[in-house]
Amino acid sequence: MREYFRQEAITYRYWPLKILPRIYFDVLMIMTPFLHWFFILLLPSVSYGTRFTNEVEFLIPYTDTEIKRARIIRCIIVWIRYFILSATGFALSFLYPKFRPSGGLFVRYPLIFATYFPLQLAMTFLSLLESATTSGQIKKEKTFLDYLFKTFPATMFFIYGWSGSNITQYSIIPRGNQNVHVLLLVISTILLIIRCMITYRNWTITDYSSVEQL
Amino acid sequence: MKLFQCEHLTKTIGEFKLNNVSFSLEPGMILGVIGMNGCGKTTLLRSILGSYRLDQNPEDKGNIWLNLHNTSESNVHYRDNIKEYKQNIAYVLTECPFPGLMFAKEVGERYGRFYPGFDLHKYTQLLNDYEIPKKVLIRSLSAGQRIRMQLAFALCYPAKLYVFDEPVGNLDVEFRDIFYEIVRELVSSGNCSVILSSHLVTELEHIADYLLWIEKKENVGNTIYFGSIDDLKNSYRILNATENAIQMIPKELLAGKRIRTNHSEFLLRTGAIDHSRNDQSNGADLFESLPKELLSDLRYPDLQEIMYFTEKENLS
Repeated sequence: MREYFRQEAITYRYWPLKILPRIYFDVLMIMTPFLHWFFILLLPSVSYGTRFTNEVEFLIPYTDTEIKRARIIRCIIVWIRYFILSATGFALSFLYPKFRPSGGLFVRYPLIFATYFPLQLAMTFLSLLESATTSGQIKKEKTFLDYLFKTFPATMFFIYGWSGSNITQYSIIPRGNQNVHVLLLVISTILLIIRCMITYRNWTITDYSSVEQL
Repeated sequence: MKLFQCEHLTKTIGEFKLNNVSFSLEPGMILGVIGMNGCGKTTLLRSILGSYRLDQNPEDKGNIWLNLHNTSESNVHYRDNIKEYKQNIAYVLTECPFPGLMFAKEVGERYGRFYPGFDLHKYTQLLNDYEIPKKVLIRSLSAGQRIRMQLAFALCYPAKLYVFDEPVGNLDVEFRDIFYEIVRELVSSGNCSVILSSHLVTELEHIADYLLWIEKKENVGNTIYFGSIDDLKNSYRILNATENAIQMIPKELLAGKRIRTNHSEFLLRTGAIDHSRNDQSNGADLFESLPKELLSDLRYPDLQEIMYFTEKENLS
């Protein structure tokens, strides 16, 4: 890390105006694993609280506050599970750096996707498994909108997350191609914001008729 | 002392509105809820159970309460204390509310703890008695088995109100008989009441004391009758006659008709009160208005006939 910043400083010491946005972007790279954890892990688990809703959850003697508290606890449990899975993936990428993709943009991306999707599938499978043991219905789990609002941003953030973990000699983002990445990041962020809004709407449901109409 | 009171219950779901339903129950009473498909029976029961919330607009004065200890101080209001209110209601619904990917035994272990006094041992015993397989997911159980499992759950904690939403339709004849016997036993103690919706009107007639009849018109469900079944039946007679007899029947007494080539039937109101319309049509009395030769052809209708004739007349 220290070496990285030293190199950056040497490269750009004669042009401070250039280094600032660069540092900002690289900090973003470093932060993205956490963003990844935050968005990918939190959002599905939050929406999980209402997506797999059975009528019994509205029948059991709970106040509205208790229902929300129960959903939060359940989300945390799911969150921890995702966290362990994801952290394992990242740990492996650090322990075995030679497996990190290298080469040009069109070589690296397919490699990342190829690595990422089994992980995403595993997460989905575990999510379904969790639903099987808690709240049951899985019929609404995977729709096109789910892929659009969850999987695509998740993939993008995973790529940035990996980039963040390879900021030294294995930097995944070739210099000069960053506009593409910024564009993808912006698209992902917009989709995530929309997903947040949907999730927020789901959180507020206290009437089973609203679930039936979803 | 009333055990349960439902006042001006209104619930809107999409374009459908269940409008201003009011009724009350005394301890030991069985209330039958009837009406055509889509009239709002399930909406009413789900609203009572709390899975549908009452409409929240300021003008809505809908209120539901349950009396727990036979004193005026022990009323638990739906809007004020929904937790205690729900703890005292048991339910069996047409669509199983429990997760389909659970086993029957897990339902008791997982959800029983929300109900004070839930007896898990009794639940396991009832599952055995009702022959519910233990290693089969709920979604793989037959519709009748799911009803039995719900019934087992409902019977394992001391509820004040039992709500059964069309439970008998999927039960075999033998267990249907057991079910009715259970319902009779529940209310015989005089500590609780039962609300039972069903399309099997003839069976309902034999078990229910009171009736709540809901009718749907232009996407609005309204109560058209609440009262004792005997009163309702006393208000009508069936006249078996030829089609020409219709000319001798005062119009205000004719509630419905079934015209056939050789033999027709007419549902006639006996007196001034039109139960199905909640209004008073002054004057006519069946036994005074009808020609004497037709009086001998009168008979008491059963509930199904009243429902059939009336709903048919409304549709036409």
